[in-house]
Amino acid sequence: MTAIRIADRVRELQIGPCTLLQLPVSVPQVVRWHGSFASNPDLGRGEELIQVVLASLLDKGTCKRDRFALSDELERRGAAISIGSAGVRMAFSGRAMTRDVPDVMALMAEILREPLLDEDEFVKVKGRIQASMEQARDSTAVQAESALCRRLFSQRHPSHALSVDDVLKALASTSIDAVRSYYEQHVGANELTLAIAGDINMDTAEKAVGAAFADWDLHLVAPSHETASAPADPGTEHIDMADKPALDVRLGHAIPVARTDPEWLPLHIGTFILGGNFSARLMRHIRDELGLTYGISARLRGMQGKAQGYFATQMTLNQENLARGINEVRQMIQAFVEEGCTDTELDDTKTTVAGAYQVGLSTTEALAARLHNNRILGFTVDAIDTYVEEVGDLTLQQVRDSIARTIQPDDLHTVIAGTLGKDTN
Amino acid sequence: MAVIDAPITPLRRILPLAIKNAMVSNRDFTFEERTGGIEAWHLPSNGLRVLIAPQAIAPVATVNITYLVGSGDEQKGHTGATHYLEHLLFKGSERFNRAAGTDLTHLLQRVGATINATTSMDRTNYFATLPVRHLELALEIEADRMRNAILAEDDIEAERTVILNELDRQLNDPVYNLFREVWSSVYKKHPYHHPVIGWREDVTQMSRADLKKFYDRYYWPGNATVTVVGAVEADHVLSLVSKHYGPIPAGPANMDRPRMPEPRQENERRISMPGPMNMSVQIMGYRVCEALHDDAPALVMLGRILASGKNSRLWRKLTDSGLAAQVNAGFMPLRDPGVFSLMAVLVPGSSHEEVEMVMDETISAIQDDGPTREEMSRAKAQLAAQEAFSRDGSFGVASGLNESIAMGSWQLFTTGRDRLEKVSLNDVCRVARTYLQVGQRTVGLLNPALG
Repeated sequence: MTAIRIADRVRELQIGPCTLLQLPVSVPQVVRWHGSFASNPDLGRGEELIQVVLASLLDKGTCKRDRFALSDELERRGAAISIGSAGVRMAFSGRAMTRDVPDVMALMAEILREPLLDEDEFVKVKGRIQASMEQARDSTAVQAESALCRRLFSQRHPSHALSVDDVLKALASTSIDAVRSYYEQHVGANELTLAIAGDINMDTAEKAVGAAFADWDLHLVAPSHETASAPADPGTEHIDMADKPALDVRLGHAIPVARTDPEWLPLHIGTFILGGNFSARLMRHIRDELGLTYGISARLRGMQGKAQGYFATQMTLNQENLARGINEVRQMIQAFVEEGCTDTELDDTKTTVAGAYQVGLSTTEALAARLHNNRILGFTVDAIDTYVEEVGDLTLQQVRDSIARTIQPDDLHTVIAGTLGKDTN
Repeated sequence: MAVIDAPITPLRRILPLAIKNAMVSNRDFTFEERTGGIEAWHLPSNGLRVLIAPQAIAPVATVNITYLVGSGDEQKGHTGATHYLEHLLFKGSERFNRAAGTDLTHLLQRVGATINATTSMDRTNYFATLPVRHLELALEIEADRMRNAILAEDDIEAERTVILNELDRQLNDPVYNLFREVWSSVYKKHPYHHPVIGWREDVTQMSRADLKKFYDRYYWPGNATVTVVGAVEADHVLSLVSKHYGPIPAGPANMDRPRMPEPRQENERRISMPGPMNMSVQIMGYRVCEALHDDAPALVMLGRILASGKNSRLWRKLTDSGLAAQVNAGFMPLRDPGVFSLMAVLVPGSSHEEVEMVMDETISAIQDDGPTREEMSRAKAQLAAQEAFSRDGSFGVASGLNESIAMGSWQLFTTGRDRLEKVSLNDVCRVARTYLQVGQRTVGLLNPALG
């Protein structure tokens, strides 16, 4: 249990459309923030790719400054700003020394609210995304994970992942006009949430955020994404890749659980017992006892807002251990569902999660991110402290029931990415 | 099915054993210095150094132990021993092992610790970030595995497959493979030639005797530094360190390191590797100086000016111009002379010739005219901010100290910014002329056309 309540030090304000959460932290001169707004792309029409292009284009110049002047403003202060596409939201974050926060926050607003969206820059951004997709094509981990997501979710779900070829094809047909139009329709202060942590006076931060975002307008696009999964029939998919002796393997299936559901916590803890860390069942047996893999884990993934996600294990195996490794993991999942976890495992996991949570909140970066993420899930500020108490209150029966109800060994999909031997082809 | 088959030994059963062994007290430590928020202490009885950095962000502490042994201390035939040992030290020590119900990983993770270890060219480190009330547990475990690792035959065999899987994972990455080939070409005699994980044939044949010999040579207090950062008081840390490390004897006076000096490179070396479809990468590696050399800060600055931020020279000429998707440049500071490298991931359609020509022109320009005042000012501001942000959290500070220790002086962590502030325009121009010579470089190309 956290000894000092963090929530007591958090100040929450509504500044125009922006929900601002502030937390003073005593790291000299260091200030960090995380923010986001709902952009609501039409995922079924491939608008997330346009959003990815837009996110890369925003900091390449504004109506007031070209890309070099903009960058110079940040670099000469040692500050940094990052903007990204996060499914149905657009996320932004930044860091600056205390004295520079008002100036850098103003730049952040300028980038979001007055971008140039220049055509020449658009062409370069497309080239960079193309190069990064070629790198993704060469990654066994990316190939395995995205193939599993395609098997479990329709394109209208935030967890769906396009194939590299589909992304490149869509990218080729994306125009700067489409990006500009998307910006006009989808970028605004909808559900604008910003969390700031660090060595900063609260009034200074409030003033800076007010000047930046208080009068930002909302856009008119409502959410249109699906929140439920649409899995194909369980099966095995091989992705043959040259010169990849370590095969990336995923076993997973969709689950009817979102991060905001009461079912999430007992299921999360149960999954942690199975494959959450070095001490978990999978790592101890598959790596420590059998020596089959460098690493194996089990996680709940793909839960964005109210969207339901999936359960998956991930590991790498050499060709000679492939069949045995997969078989062992399937048997372990089956036994875990049938027998459940033990009292000792649950008690240990409770202390692990409580301690790890405390450790995980020991930087300004982590504190800002947690405050922001909790708020966009609809949790109150108190949730940053009560999480550990909720974990502590879980009973063995709750965790066992949740595992038995949700994890279905017969529904597991298998995806293997890497250089396949004769036996696996 | 695997279960956690042994009950966990309560901590109170472990601690009294250690108390009985206590032989030294805080008075036995020699205070060395206090700078930049770091206190340095030394235990003359066995040579252990202790660094303490109190920090009150959260009730958390990081314990890091740095051993001055890395792949740079390995010889052909036994490469990968450092990394192999790093894995085995999680398999158990005399008092902390699974058979006794005191598996160290489980004990630490049970209290929420983030634990791991890393091996590099000049050092191996083991670390835990955990709630500060469990600080003693981390110190106790590290002290026990310093001299009492079990190194069981069956653990060695099981871990061999794990390490070979890790090696295969690295081989999956073509950019890593290119870097590895460039480094192996830059160093012909010096052990930096070897990959940190070792050559496959050496890992396959590594015996318990090899590993035990390596362990007994390097895992001693005199070759180690314990760093504790977080919500701690120095007196308390010293009392715990004295309790757990005090009884350990001093190690051999001479570690007998096989570090062969690398002869001067006289001619350019070039490597071409087939790459995956549409993935071209260019690396240019120049052998430069060691981390403690007076030229090192100017090389750090040169890397910033060349490729850090959108106003850097290579970003403008390669990335902004649409030739490269990504560009990096920098000096990797090591205990022995290291490498200054430039790297570009080409945009599909760009040619290696074009990218190399731009890199060469950029280097020539800075050799001829040096950087501008604006470039220097920007680079210094970035490095000052980086230093401030590196102190955000106990792990960041411990990690920075760990790397400085590996380079040869922990004080680099606290004096690094002053060293950088003193770098002049002429210094950057001079190191560019001195080190970035065609005859002293190795060029590596990842080229899909060769596939």
